[in-house]
Amino acid sequence: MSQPEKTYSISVENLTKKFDDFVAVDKITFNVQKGEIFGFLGANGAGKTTAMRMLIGVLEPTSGKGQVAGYDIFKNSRKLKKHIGYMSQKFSLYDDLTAKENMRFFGGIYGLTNKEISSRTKELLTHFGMEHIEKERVSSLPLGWKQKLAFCTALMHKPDVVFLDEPTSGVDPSIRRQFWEMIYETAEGGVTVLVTTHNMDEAEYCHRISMMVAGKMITVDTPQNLKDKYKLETMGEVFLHLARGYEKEHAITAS
Amino acid sequence: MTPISAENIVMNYGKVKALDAVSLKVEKGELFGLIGPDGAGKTSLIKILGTLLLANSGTAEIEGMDVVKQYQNIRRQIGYMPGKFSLYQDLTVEENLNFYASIFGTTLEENYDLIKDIYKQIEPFKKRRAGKLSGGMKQKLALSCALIHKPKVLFLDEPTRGVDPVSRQDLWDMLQSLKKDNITILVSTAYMEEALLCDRISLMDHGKILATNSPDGLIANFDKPLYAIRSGNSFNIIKKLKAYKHANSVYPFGDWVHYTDKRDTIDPLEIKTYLENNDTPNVEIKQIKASVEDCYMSLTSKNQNYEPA
Amino acid sequence: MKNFKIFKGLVRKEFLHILRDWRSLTMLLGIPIVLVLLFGSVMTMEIKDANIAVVDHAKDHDSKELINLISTSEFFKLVKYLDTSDEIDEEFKKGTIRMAFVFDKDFGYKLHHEGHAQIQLIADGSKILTSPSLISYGKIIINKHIASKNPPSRAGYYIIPTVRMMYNKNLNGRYMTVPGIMSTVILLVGALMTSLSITKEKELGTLELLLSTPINRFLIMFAKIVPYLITSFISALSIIWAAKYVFEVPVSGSMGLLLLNTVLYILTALALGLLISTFANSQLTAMMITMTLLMLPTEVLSGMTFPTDSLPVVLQWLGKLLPSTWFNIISKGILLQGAKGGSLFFETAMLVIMVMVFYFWSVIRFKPRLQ
Repeated sequence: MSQPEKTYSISVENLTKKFDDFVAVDKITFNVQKGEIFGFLGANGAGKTTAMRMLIGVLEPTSGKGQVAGYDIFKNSRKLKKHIGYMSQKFSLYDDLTAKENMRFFGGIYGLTNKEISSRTKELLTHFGMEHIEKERVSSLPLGWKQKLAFCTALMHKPDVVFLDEPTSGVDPSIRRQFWEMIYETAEGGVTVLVTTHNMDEAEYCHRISMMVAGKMITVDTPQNLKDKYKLETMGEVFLHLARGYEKEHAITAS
Repeated sequence: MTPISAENIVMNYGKVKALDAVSLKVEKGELFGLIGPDGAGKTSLIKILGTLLLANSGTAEIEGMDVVKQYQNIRRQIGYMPGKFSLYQDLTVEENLNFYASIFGTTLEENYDLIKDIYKQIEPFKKRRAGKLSGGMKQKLALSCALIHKPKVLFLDEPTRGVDPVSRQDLWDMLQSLKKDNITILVSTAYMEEALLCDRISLMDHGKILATNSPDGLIANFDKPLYAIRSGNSFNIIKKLKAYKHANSVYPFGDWVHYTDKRDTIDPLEIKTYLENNDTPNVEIKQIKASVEDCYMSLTSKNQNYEPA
Repeated sequence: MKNFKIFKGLVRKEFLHILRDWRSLTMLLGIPIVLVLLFGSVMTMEIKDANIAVVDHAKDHDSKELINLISTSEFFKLVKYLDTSDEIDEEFKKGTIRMAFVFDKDFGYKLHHEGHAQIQLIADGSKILTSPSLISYGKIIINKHIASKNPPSRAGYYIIPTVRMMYNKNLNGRYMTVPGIMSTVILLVGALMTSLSITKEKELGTLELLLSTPINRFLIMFAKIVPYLITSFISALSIIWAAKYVFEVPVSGSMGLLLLNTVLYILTALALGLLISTFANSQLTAMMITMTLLMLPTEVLSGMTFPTDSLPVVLQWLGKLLPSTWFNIISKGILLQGAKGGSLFFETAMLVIMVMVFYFWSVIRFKPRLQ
């Protein structure tokens, strides 16, 4: 058994998930360094969500190896969950509770003491300039602010890695940028961020991106290297080039 | 006859003003975009125009017919594709199409020509249940169903929401191709860059229309010189520019940062020097044309900070 | 003509939904019969070999013959001969018997000379679930016995069974439980089918798309009824079959009349489900409304388990609003009393009115726009 590789926050080797005879995730291999912002791109149904579920310990992989925050995703999925934060696009906050009450609740889930909860809530809200919404009900907040708040709750227990599933979909463009500044600051503080997005502009904000097509990870690189490699201007073009090219090459019929 | 016209539409959900005196006119054959984030009021506006919701006040007409009084006649002439996939998942592709054709008293064969470009892409899967289709194919089916009765006006509510870039481009290609059939299309999206694919757009925010124009016209109205700046580390450059005393706006765009200055005329070299004096080497700076997103952010800059009521 | 085509398209679609979801289909068709078998056997099980006592004041040939018939039947077990009626009370209190038959002194004499005689059937009125059935089975044995004695061509002598319920004198023993369960199950399942079918479309958003088309709401609602009328009828047939062959409920009247009324009753249930769907936005709410509105009230107020004439007047009137109250009268009338269509005219008319009210009320409430 290999020891956890301390340099990597996420380390995955030939990770595979099969549902009956359908291979949702097909032998993906990649590493993410501590403090890195790692973009997880791919077409709908390419297997991103399934891969992410395995990494956060809620779905058991069929085969392969994987470590997140130093914990084996096969054997230590419970411990692993204490050291990661997760923000899903669908469910993240209780609409009928205030911002502070939500943070208290999520802090409680991770076993923080009342004192820790209070100080951490204050710390996060102040740090990200959100003190003034503390007593607001979530239902009255615009989407962008909800998402910023959800990000704070995911950081309550000082996780080593945070997973963000389409956090900015439908969010106002300037608030979306505020959100990304939060991501940058968090990453600079040593937290590893894995984020999915369909917004190719945001793909450029990532340190490195991976791209999945039909369950396979067809590339992992920096946005700049990819643009240089294919001599294209934007990540949007790179995405189209890779997704279309792969589909043609492998004659994938839509399914 | 104007295909779509709305006059001072107001829509309230309790205390929340979803639409605040919105007026709109869309010309025949136009591909018209409603651009704005969630909560801007796009969906409410589309549902009111599609006769599915009653506005609190204001009037609207589709093909000269009143959306309140003549809703049944309007429904014969419009196609609607809701934001959520709303076809019957337990029916096959073919069964869904036949069903929608039968509701309008027509058949798939009768109107095959109009939808064939779209439908032929999913025809090989016509025996497959709609629930088992991929996201892109579901959209093609939904669009085919919305077109099966040859509507004069087509409403699409955020068809590219949560959709990957490949399927997104497919969808826009399909919409462009419908223009040859002279169908008027009203489409909403939160992706600012998709505005460029429309003939005209309205930028929406908090229930209001901020501007209505062609994408080029909108961009031409951007009144400040805009600079794109980059060095190796974007986060660093953002922080440094925000701290710059003359900075008006600083927004990351990909690996560039878009910058406007408070002063009317500036020397880009001055900014470059400022950055390089503040541990930001290798600065590239160039003046650029604004994007729709730049326009949108400049129009909404007052609203960036949420003020509790 | 065009509307008929549209209607056909709608109905075809509904059938496809039903056929595709075979799990729900088997539930819809299977659960009613399972419920009837289950409840029915719980209720009839107690009736097997119920302990009885006999007070035979006559002690003649006719009384002995009938006592012999009663005690050898599968329903009753003769455990005691009592000398006087006064002892019955004591035996009830001790719990040794559940029913008593009292023969008049001149039983045989009266029967042959006056053409009729009396037997008293005494049961414990506080046992509201089983006593009515005991009485009914007692009566059935007596009637069979008399029928076998009489030449088929002419009515000869007859026995008048008088019923006495001790401790709860008003309990009417005229009905049996199986038809009651039958009406509850048909009503519940029918109302659930249509209400769930529409609220499912609300949940999935498919209704929103339907609303954006020029389709008429009368048609949308009507098309929901047709396929479920068929599935419900199949399940009702299985219930009637169980009533007749498993529980041996006598069908004294016309089966055709019963089936016709069953169809009418199913329509009422389906239309009620439509109405419920206009008050609910989710399948869960529809289910809760249907259950609370129909399950308990039907059991309590419709005369299925409790005799309605012992209920407060307000509740009796509430009971009259339930379709099951009327169908109970109809089904029991046809099954047990051999009632003809004419005598059930009022009850049938009530069901027709209910179908109309439920259907048109739901169409009116079904708004052509989103709320």
